[in-house]
Amino acid sequence: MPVTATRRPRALAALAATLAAVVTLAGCSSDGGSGDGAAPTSTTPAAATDAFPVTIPSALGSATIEKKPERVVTWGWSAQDAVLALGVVPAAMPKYTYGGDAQGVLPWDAEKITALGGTTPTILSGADTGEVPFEEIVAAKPDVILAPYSGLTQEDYDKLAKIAPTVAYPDQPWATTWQDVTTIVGKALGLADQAKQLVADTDAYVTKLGGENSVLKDKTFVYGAANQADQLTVYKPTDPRVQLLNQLGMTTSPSVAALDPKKDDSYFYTVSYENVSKIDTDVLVAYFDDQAAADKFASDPLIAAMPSVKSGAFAPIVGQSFVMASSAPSALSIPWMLDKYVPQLAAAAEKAQ
Amino acid sequence: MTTAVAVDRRRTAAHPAARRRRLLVGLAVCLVVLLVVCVVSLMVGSHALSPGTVLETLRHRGDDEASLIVWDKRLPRTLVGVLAGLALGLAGTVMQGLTRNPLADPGLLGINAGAAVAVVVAISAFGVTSVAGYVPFAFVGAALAAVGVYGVASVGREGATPTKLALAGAAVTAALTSVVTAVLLTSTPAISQLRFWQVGALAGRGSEVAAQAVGPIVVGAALALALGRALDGLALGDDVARALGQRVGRVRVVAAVSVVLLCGTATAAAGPIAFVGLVVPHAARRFVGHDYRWLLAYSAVLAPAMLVACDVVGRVVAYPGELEVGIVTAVVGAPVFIAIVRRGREVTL
Repeated sequence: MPVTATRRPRALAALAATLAAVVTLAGCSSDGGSGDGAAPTSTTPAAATDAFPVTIPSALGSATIEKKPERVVTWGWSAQDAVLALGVVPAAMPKYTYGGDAQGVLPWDAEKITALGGTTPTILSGADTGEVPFEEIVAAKPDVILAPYSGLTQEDYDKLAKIAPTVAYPDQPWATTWQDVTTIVGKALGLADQAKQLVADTDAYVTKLGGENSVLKDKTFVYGAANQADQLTVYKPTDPRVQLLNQLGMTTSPSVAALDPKKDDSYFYTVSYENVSKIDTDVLVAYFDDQAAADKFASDPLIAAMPSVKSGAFAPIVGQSFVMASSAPSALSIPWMLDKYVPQLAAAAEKAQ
Repeated sequence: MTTAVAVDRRRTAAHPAARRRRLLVGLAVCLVVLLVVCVVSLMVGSHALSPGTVLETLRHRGDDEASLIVWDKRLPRTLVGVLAGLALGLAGTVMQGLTRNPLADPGLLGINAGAAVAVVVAISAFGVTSVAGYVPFAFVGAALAAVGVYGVASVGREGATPTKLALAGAAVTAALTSVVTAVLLTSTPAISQLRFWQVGALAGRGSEVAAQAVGPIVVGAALALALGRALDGLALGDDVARALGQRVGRVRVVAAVSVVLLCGTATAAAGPIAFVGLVVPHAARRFVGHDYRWLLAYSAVLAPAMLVACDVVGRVVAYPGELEVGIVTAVVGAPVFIAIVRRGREVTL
């Protein structure tokens, strides 16, 4: 189906979303709105007890959702992962030019949509520029707008809140853990218990993976990227990328806090290649679009002189989908990428001195 | 009355020699400034190295960290800065003379935008990955844009007047910039490559970029420096220039070729850097007056000094990171630009 959604695919997507929601929500006794007529399936426990209306506070305002939402629109990163992981196909979700397929759908989202028997949602434009496509969101007729991991401004939020109840980030822009994203989305969809279970299952999976690779335990790391000429982007401990490695048992290098120029709410800062020798870490993790970019980075004389790189304890994350999965971890993307990346990470950690 | 005229005559007669001496001394001072800036550029960076360490490193290149920083980072970026600054300063001066527009900047005639589009095409369609590989593309793009702008501006009876050139340049720039945006929004390889290039920077270019830029910039600079007298003629208007025996059309072509060589190469090497080509000729004009032979010489020395100085500032204001030189020149240049616009007297030249 072409990405240029006409009325018909949009209607189909809506229907699919509704069906998916109905199937998943089957058995929710407290919900009289959408559950009628759907028989409980054997695989879905009748666990949800959330009562609507539900009010969800966020940094930009609180959203009151009157009844179980059927048409869900997501914005920012990861929200669509959480929605899909909870068995609901969004009515509209942002386009992922980076890491996505031709339509802008991330591979783990596409897999889940197929598994749920859904249709590709309306793809919202503008995700790469940060501009919120208000008209497209209006056209998607949302019951709720979920943007718990986004960079919404107060102005954006106020406009969106006029379209539908809007859930923004709880604290700071672009600084919500995937666990919180999942929990918030679960609450908004009336699937709080399922969300809790999903977080627990995924956490257990990551912890188990960390346990199986004991070499990772207490190894220090810096999570970086090469996005500016001769400058290393360093992600701070508030970033989900960093937290995922923490969950595997690794420790954020003390240098990350020591070099941080201003202890503000930004989630990264840059270090000139002239200063990379001041970074003390066992393992250097950094993401790259392709192997050529990774090789170019590692061959810079000052980067190559870093003890971690010199000893082979450099664990690049290579490929756009991998970069996206590790940059925006979620209950869907974590298993998708960790199975392949953790062995490489462990091999690099073995070489740390 | 008569004595007054005589005194005036004597003064103007004595003036050229004194003025020449004053300007030569001034140029020497500018050269010293450039030299000092270059030395500072080797001494000062994000990682504090003592001058003694830097000098020691310059004498004996080792494989220690200080050597890597000085030889592999600071030296190449200083070279790129000198070359790009020279190119942008001369190109800006030539363009101001060519268009008789004191607001002319390498951005004005769509030159930078043409180079940018070509680089984007090089990356997304031809898979060019090295900065050195951009240079030929940017060069062709700059040339095509210049020809296009000149062609559009030439339509009509009165030919390519300064106003029409400026308008055509603005229109072509807008069109080309939207092409860049369109490609960036749809091509992810282009995005990741352009990250390093779309904000003008001297860092991360390496000595091979400087080596590749030397040739076209030297040729372009030689052409530009030879244009001084012709630009003085053009400043009087096409008719007067013709009456003085100048071949106006040929002057324009030579000027355009030099601008394309200079801007295309500088943009390919460092990325888009604004305001250097605008600010430096204006600063020089305050001291030199409107003599283009001197203006070109001063701009050729002062522009690299300004660009490298801005780069040094960018290295130290954002520790442990750096600020790209393109951002620093914009911060420095924008207020000057506004001041020039507000001082309407000069805008009409």
